[in-house]
Amino acid sequence: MIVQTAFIVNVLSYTLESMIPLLIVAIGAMICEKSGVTNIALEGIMIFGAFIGVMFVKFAEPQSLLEAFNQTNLQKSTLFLIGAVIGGVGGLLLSWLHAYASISMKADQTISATALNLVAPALMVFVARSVFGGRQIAFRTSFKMVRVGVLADIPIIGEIFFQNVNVGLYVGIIVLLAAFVFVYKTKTGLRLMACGENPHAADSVGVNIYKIRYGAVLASGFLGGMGGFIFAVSVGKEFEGTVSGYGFLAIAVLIFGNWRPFRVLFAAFFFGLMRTIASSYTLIPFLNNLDISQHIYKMIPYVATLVVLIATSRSSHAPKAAGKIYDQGTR
Amino acid sequence: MKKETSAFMTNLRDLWRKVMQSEGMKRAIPSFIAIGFGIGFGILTMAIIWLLVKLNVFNVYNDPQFFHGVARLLAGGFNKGMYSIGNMLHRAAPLILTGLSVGFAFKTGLFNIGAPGQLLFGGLVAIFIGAKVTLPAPWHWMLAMIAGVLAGGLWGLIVGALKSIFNVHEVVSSIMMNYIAMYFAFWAIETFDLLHRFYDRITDSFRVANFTLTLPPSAYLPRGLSSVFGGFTLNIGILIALAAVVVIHIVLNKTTLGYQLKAAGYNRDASKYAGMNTKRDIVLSMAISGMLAGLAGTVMILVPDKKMFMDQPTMMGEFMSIGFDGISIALLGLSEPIGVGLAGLFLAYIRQGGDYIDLAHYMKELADVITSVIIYFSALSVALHQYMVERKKKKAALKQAPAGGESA
Repeated sequence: MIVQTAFIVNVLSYTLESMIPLLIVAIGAMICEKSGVTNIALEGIMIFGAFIGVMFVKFAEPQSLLEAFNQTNLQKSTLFLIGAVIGGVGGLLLSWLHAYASISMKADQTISATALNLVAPALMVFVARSVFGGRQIAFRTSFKMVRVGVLADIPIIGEIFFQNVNVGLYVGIIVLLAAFVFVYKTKTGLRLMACGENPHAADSVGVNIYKIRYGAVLASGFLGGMGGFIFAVSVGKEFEGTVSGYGFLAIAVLIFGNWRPFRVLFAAFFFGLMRTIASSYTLIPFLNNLDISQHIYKMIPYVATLVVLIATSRSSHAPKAAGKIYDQGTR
Repeated sequence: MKKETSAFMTNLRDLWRKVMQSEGMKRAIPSFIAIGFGIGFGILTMAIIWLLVKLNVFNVYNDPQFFHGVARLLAGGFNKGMYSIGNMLHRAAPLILTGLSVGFAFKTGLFNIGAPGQLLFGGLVAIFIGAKVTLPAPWHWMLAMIAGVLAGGLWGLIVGALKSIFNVHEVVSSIMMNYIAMYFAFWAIETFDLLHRFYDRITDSFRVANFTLTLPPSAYLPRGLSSVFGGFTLNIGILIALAAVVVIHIVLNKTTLGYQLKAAGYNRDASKYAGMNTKRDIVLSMAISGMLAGLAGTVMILVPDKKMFMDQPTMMGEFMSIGFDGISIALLGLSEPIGVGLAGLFLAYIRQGGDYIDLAHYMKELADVITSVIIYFSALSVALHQYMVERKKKKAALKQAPAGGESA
């Protein structure tokens, strides 16, 4: 019994760790799509944010291994939060290019997003190789806090939420709640949704479509960059210039979550669980005994995405004007 | 005699003017603007790095040489005479094919970002046939190629079917199919024993390498002409690619099928109303698109010394990235088969130049940066071009309006 509880706690905390970046990026994508702009540049934005954030960490952290190891929770968390904000600003700057092309210049949203998806990894690898000589950027700090104060003593909940976690978990929860309140409870949020459903109607009552769409794209860029940073520091101690399709997975999460914050949370949890099974099936005795190739397990999150999309895409409630260029002159 | 030459010259000038004023040329203007911006950005990046190193902001092992680097970059496929031209043509073949794949899908209103997976799957099946089947020379590579094409088509067909039956967005499902193809390939290579084995003297036993085995020579595409290309052995890949350009051009512009698929691309509702089976069209065009990508995969793999590696970064960087390049090429070539052919050659040219900037101590990844900047600006410059044309029209209208007003 004790073994089983420990096992479930383990799986849950792995799941939480891998779902948080997905959740944050998917929330960003949700805000963006609700304003009527599709943002499939999130993959590139995540890579760029992670790159900038990890660069900051590399220069700001203690330069000896021992010192880096001995950092207190507060030091780690401060470094983490500043890195996340810097990553977010990096993502915001990149998404500004997307906003400029797709809103001001009325260019094709898919093409400009694709270009950004190409720019980010290319630029990152180029700079990393020019400056560090390799495509990996390694850092020393492990952001996991072993125990978070007295809260860690609470049975089960303490083990899941307050032991061996990084501060990203709390950032994710705050982002989710803030996005919910923003979209459904504030005037700007309601206007945002109006922009995505019927921009001409919103325009006719005095909503500035361009401003709101700019804001939404920049917000998704910020959250995307932040999510990229959190992804990069959660998986290991080096960043290789890839977020393994998380930017696109986030869009799948958004579709599965039907453009609603708490369903997005559920969808992100589902994908996090799939990923946990894929990456740590050896810890699960029942799965390990099946003797299936590791490559098949790694396929699971992607196959699961397809299955879920098949089940949910028919009855999707996508914002009606998502992906369409807004031109005041047309009807 | 002199008259004849001048007549010839005027003819030539007329031809030049005709080409420059043709519809295709006008549509290509945004691409040229974008190429200019992209290369300008690349040179600017080189200058910044050169300056930073000169000012000791950071140090590198070898100081970059700015002017040397720019010259190498711009010389592209002409860096080493015929040898590098041969290399460029060899490189261009799969690029043109994936560009055609993505471009064909664009023409029919679909975004096939799944070309990497289709390419990989086609290549995988070609390796399988190449290694497991014994056949004499022309039949062996032909069989491997056809099987690879069909495999790529199947991979595209799945995406098309998911879209037409279940309304699954093709971009997201294609990306998932790319990852599934990659892990499937790793699994298949291990399971079907397609790995290279080598004899290890130290442990006195056979060991398994992390890349696929060498195919028998009967599975290689016919190749030759090494005396023409200064020692570079070119294969028929580029001819296959050019043939594909012609075939797709004919299919799109001269056949009912092509017309139907294009019509669905312009307006799906209208073509549905006109009685076309749009659901079937989606599946069909994704399958054709996938077949082209699969063909690219076979052209890449059915050559001596080309292997698939078992680790993710190499698989992504060396193999699947060609599929992503297809997107750039299709955009740059405006999805027109002939434009795609030219864009594929251009990309191969810039890549070739990128390889040679190593000599000036720059990183060859700069070529990728340049390509992606070109794509961004081609998205922008289509819009910019439209804006300019509209402004011209407005100005012309304004000029006429006062004249009309006075007479009234």
